[in-house]
Amino acid sequence: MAYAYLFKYIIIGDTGVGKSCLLLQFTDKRFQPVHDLTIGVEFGARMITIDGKQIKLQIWDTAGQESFRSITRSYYRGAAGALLVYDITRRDTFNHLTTWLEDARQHSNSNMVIMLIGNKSDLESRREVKKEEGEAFAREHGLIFMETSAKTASNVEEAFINTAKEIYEKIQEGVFDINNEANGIKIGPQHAATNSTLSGSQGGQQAGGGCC
Amino acid sequence: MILTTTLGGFSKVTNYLYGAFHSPGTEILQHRPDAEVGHLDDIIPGLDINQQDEPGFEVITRMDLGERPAVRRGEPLGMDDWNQNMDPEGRMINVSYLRRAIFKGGMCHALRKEGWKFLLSYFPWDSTREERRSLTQRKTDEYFRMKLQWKSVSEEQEKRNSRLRDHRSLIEKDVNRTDRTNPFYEGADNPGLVLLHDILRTYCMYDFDLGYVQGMSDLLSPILFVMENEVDAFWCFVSFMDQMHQNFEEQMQGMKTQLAQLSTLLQLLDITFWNYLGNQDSGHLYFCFRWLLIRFKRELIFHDVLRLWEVIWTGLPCQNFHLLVCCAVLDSEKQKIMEEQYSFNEILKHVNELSMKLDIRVILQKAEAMCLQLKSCKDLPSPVMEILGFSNPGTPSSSRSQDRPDSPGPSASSENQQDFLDDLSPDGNNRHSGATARNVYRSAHVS
Repeated sequence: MAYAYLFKYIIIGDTGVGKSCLLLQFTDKRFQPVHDLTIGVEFGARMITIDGKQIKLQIWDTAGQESFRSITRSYYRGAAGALLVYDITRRDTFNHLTTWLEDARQHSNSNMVIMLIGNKSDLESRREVKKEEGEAFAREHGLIFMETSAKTASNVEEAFINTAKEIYEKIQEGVFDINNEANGIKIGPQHAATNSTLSGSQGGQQAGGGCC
Repeated sequence: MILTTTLGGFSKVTNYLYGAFHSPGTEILQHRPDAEVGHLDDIIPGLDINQQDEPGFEVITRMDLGERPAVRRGEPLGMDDWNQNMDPEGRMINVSYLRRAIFKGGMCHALRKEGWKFLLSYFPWDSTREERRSLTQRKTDEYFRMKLQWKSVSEEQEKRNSRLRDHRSLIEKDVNRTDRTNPFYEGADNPGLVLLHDILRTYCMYDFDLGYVQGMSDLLSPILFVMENEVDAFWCFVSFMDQMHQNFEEQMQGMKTQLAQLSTLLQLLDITFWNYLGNQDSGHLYFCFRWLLIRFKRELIFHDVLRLWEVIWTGLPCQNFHLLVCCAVLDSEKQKIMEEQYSFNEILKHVNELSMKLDIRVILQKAEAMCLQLKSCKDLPSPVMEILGFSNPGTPSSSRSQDRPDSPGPSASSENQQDFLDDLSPDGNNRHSGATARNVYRSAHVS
């Protein structure tokens, strides 16, 4: 399918907060409790519609392990959006947000839209971080905020789509230079009819569609 | 003058020189004055700068790496063959034959449980059955002593030890996320998970400084699968970790060293591709991160991982063979990457998606061929010789390949590696000279 824009996202945060599960819930609409831990970076992609325009989200799911960070940082480059995730049942994952945020701001472009996500909202009985605390942190650092559950899918769509809306608005306002790919935005092929097939798992040969 | 300054740094290697000319952003090559060409000729024997008259067109002969020989993989080493190479007391004989056979074809699965203990130096090749029995006894006691150490830490103690606490919670998380689709580890309450957990916790006691880092569970899982025994799996894992340790140290220095070494090899093997990657901001080769960190564990199907690892553990045909394995995979992908003009993001994505699609036979064949090709090449740049553990002609094949702190690897002596290469190289040990061009690589640049 053709798209008007492609946005690159990154998902960051401590290990085990549910980054890969959020991605899978968003791209495949399923929750997979057993999956391999992420080493390096993994990908997902999905098409969404904003303002009648098809937008392709290319999402990079990074490993949370601290010691990999000197290398995973390089994947932040050219991201238009970031989901910064913590686990509402583990206080330490919330405490580490400042480090993640500094890291993200330092290694990506200044206009990157950051969504703060308190994941595992289905585990209310084990909650260690109040919703108000998440809201306050987001307010203080100029982030959008949401609590999600990758397990029940609650707010997952909204998290990804609201981030895209914010990016889209920034484009409309002219904040993002869409001709500079370093901003994590790519304009889709002009003529969709001929070269529009999405590259599937076989790796498409089509030119012009960009790489998903 | 860029030329003269470059020359000092790059000595005789025309490839490198070419690389300097073709650095990012210098697509247009100027015609060089005759005097300069003469000067280059003096310094670089065999360098052939084609002074054609087409404006902006120049041909530089690259360093001739010679033909890449055809190699064939063998059949897995069988139980009978193994047993025939054991003396009545149980010592392994003809060890270099066994190593070679394992390098060429791996081993049959039934043999792995025993064979891997030798390959991983848990059992010395020249030990008798009796010696191995008492070794196993000793190692069993040692293992359970260390296991008891973490088992006996009280909750109160753990509260005051953040390191211990962090490692525990990380290991608990990760064993639930390691190979869970493999029947050996699938399902809730799988006993394999408890073993994975206990071995990793005990390893934290064995190596306090390192503790547990993500990726280590991936390295342990196949070993435990093969050993089906907690103590044996632990000690084999310890040996494997001796080789992989630096990958997991803080600041990832081992990873960075390997990426730099890989870049050095790639530059020699295909300067055009190397330049392409550099121009796409991918010269750091971070897209190979997962390959190197956990030795292709996530790139190959489970049984092919077992094959690759046992082949590498033979220490043949050269030091750092796993880097040539990386080169072999990239060699198969470079055409697509360059033709499709993949950028930073797309290269990483493409490489990531090779996972589970790689053919282990093809890769090993190509990597071995690359090794033989380089080995028979005269005037290899010394960094390349260093990385692969090739000794300079004239200098005795010293212990340079053994247990160097910056290049962890299984220890097959360099003599072994040399024998192997002499046997298999089409030219024997007669390296051909770069000047007697059998297969001249030429590259043309049209501005």
